[in-house]
Amino acid sequence: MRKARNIGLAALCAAGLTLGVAPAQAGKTSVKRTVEVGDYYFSPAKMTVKKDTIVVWRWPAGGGDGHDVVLRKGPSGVKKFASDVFFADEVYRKRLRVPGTYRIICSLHPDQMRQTIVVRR
Amino acid sequence: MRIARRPLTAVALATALAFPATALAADYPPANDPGKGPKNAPKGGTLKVCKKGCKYKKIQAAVDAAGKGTTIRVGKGTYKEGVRILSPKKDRVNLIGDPKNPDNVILEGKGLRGGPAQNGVLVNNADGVTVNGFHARNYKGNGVFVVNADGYKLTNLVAEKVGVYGLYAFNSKGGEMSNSEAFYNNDSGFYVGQTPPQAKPKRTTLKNLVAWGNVLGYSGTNSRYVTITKSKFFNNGLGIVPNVLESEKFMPHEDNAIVDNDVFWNNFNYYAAAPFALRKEATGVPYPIGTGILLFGGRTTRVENNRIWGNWLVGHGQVSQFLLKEENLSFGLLEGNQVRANSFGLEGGADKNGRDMFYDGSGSANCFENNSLQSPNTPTDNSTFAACPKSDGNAFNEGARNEALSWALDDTHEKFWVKGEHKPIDGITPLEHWTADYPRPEVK
Repeated sequence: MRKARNIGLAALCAAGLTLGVAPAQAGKTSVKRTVEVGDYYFSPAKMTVKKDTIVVWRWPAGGGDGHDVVLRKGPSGVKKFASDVFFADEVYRKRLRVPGTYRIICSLHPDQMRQTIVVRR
Repeated sequence: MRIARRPLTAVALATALAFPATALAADYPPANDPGKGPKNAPKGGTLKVCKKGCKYKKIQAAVDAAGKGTTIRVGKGTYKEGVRILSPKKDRVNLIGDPKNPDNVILEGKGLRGGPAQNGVLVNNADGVTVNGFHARNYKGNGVFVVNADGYKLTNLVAEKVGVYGLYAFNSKGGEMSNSEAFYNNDSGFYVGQTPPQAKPKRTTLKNLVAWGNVLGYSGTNSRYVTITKSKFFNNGLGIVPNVLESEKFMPHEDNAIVDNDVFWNNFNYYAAAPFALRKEATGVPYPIGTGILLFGGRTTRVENNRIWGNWLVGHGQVSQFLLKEENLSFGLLEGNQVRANSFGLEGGADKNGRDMFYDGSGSANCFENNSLQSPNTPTDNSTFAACPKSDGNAFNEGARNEALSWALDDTHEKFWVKGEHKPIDGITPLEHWTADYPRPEVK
């Protein structure tokens, strides 16, 4: 588990555990979906997952510019979350429990790096 | 700087050439305020970190215990950690190693995992922090990374062989990088990027820096109010490269000053051999290796009183950033830049640049004055080098731009070099093709 930290820009920094989004729990059988974080993209940029899926954002070993994962807007009741800024060879995990649409950005490159995750029941 | 790998196609070229000379009005994106400057008097106090006999054996433990204005003194030794200074509660923290000999206090990234492996020191959302007297090496990200800060001082530092930038400031106002050395970094030795536009600008000063053996000595994407002075940029792929990119906010770069620097021997062909693993991004970017100073778009930047020699491709170049999306091309235009009183080549015709200056004539109000030249320019008819002052459009020269494109697209990265003899400098060996026995320069 990686505790979210105060790293995002402005009001996007609210970190920590939330009612609707919880960090991945070790030992619990879960569906995982991996997202690549690169210069300057999330791949896939759009995806649909079932609720309780653990999304794993992965920064490749080769690295590149710094990027973070920041929830800009989520379903009602889900508090904002944010990763550290990472450059290479790192992962950030979140279990998405609440159905709805999650709009993700990189706070350093918000115009180019956007992701939409739809969580189904 | 990381340029998105948009191919230099004929379409891109044609698009770029459609907007060669005229500035278009455009609004800035809204500023994202990185914070207000420190107001309260420091609460002070000193914490000591050392390997034996101190309360703190880890720097991070002392940082966690520190309040505003606390001084943390770190003893000699090697510290395998990534230090994080992460909130306004840490405003004005002074992190001090050995300012007289930073090599005595090593921040070592090798063997670390996770967040600590990313940066030697990360300062986020803490204003007025000083980092003084450390040698950071082998981090996956940066030596020292400052983000969202109002004021910072990075001094007496060494940044070696990190994944991206040696000393890195982003989305911050004001600040200082000084008396520091950066080498073998996979992107640039020193970097200031995404400076928020300010009604009353706080300038950032880069002074007494030494950058060598990096892909770029200095890179500044969408940077502004930056003065680079009394520094040495040598043996990099390129020396100093302020630039405009869409990947960061607040285009373009502007109001920068590159004054009184030594910019020489920037012919490090890292494609041929390098002490760091090249990433696909680096190999996909057509940087014109062998360039001293390159303005890649930008406006109201002064390049003055620099000594520029022995760069085999070109000493000073400037070209509008024509790889932006069509709606952003206006941000990439060169406007109001002044190149004055620079000395190209050494006295008596020694150690000339391959070409002294390149300018394709794109943009407007760019001018040149009192430069001491020894090598031909591009274009050779000097038609683009308007005298100062200049207030209207420059004379675009398509042939000059195409020539520069051919430099950038050359797979050998050396085909268009015009090589001569370097005048030896005590303690510094020219670096073109790196070998494991290349000696760390002794800069005087």
